[in-house]
Amino acid sequence: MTHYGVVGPKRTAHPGQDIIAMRYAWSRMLLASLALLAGAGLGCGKNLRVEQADQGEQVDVDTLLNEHLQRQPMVTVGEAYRVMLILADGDDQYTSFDQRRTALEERGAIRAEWGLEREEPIDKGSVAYMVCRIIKAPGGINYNLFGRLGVGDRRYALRELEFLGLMPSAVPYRYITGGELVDLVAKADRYMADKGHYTHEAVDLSQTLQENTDTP
Amino acid sequence: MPNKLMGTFAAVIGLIAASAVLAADTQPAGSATQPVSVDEAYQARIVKLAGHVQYALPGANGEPGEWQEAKVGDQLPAGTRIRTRLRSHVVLTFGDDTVVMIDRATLASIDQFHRSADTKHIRLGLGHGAVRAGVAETTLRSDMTIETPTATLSKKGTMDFGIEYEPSTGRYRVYLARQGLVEALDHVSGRSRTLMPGQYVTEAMVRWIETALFDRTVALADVFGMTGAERLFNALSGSGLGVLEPGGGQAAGQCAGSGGGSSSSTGSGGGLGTQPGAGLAAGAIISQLTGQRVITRPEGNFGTGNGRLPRLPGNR
Repeated sequence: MTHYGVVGPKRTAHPGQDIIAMRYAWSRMLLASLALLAGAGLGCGKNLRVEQADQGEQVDVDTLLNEHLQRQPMVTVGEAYRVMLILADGDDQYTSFDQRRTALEERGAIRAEWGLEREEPIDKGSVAYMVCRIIKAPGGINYNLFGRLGVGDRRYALRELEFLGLMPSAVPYRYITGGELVDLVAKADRYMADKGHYTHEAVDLSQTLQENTDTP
Repeated sequence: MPNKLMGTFAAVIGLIAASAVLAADTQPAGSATQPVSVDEAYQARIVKLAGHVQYALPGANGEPGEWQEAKVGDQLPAGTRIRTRLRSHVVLTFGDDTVVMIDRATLASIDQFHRSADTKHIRLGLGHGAVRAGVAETTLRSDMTIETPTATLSKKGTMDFGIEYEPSTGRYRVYLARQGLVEALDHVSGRSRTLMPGQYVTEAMVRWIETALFDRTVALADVFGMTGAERLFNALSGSGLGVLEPGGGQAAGQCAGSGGGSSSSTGSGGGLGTQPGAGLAAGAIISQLTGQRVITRPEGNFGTGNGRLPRLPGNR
């Protein structure tokens, strides 16, 4: 057998030894991969986005909705709390994350048992639950029966928003992007206006055009 | 090998281009491209405002200027960017024949607003959110388009049309509420759809007739809750074509006891284009065959599906 530039022990004439050697090689690669994954898991237990959370609290409301969030592939809990209060009140009157968390807990929009931290990316289920509580979505049997007990609350909230046409179909544990969050609150705001949750003046374009024509 | 390298290089270039497109998605699609040679440049005017609205006028070098609070009466030239907050909207007029409402949580821009010869050109960009518009017919032709990164709305003499766009998913919805004609052009697939009043189209670019199929309410027949007479009636007259029969389906209605107004009668007969007593005879035949009385309904029975024929020869 001729070897071209191969450094190492010579191959044996026994073909079975090659197969055994290949199996050991695969085992070593598998172990190395597992060790790598375990190390990565230990080192990155939480995907914290501290800088993004800081920026999300510093920018004004208009910049937050129209520029800052539109660029984010994930939304932090701090940013989501702020957007939820903007949806609920029309503006953000709070200055810190703790104030916003307390305000949302008092309204029943979040549960303390979730243990969400300010810099963590928030999932779609948690956002859906907050929106459902703020817009006073009626919900189905499972949402009202089990969701109130905390069993599958966020999952059923997401399904409720899907039913109302406010969110596209998704799994509750997936992260929500900034653009998705802005689109969601815009639709939720329209839902609240249609349901009369705040005073809203409908615009008649024909009438406006007529008034504009009449104006000298 | 060179082919493989070239393929890889092309893929990398494609990825870079795609990421550039995605990064630009949140910005209004159009740019301030007011043509150099225009007969007359106009300015839009804010006529109504609710909530919190800001705009940025174009700077000297074409870059957007500082954001400032909008108020009724402000004049906005081409190149202006407008953004609205939740619970907010702003209504702009473009001359005396065009009105545009920028809805809540929207970033939009006025890219062009000028007159060339006998045509008034209005071009709006939509980064995200929703825009509604209406255009009245005047002596001056109106050429208006609303552009997003994935779709363009082009109006053709219309009232109350609009577009809603979600950059996060690329979804959009173009609709025409009242009158006129609207054309939606999808940049991704290159397809276009023309909309009539009351129609809409989404990014799926499905024809309206196919969309309407899924939008209407479909009543399901409760075959287990129907009486034998009702099942027989539906079998004979449940095709929905009864209105095409002489008398506009009166005979079928009388067969089911419509128009009588009394729960005890099986049909008054004497309807337009029908033989007097025909409904009574049909009801009597059904009653004899099934042994059950035909239930009279004031609103008529127009068929809710095909039930099984009870106790008839050859029926399975």
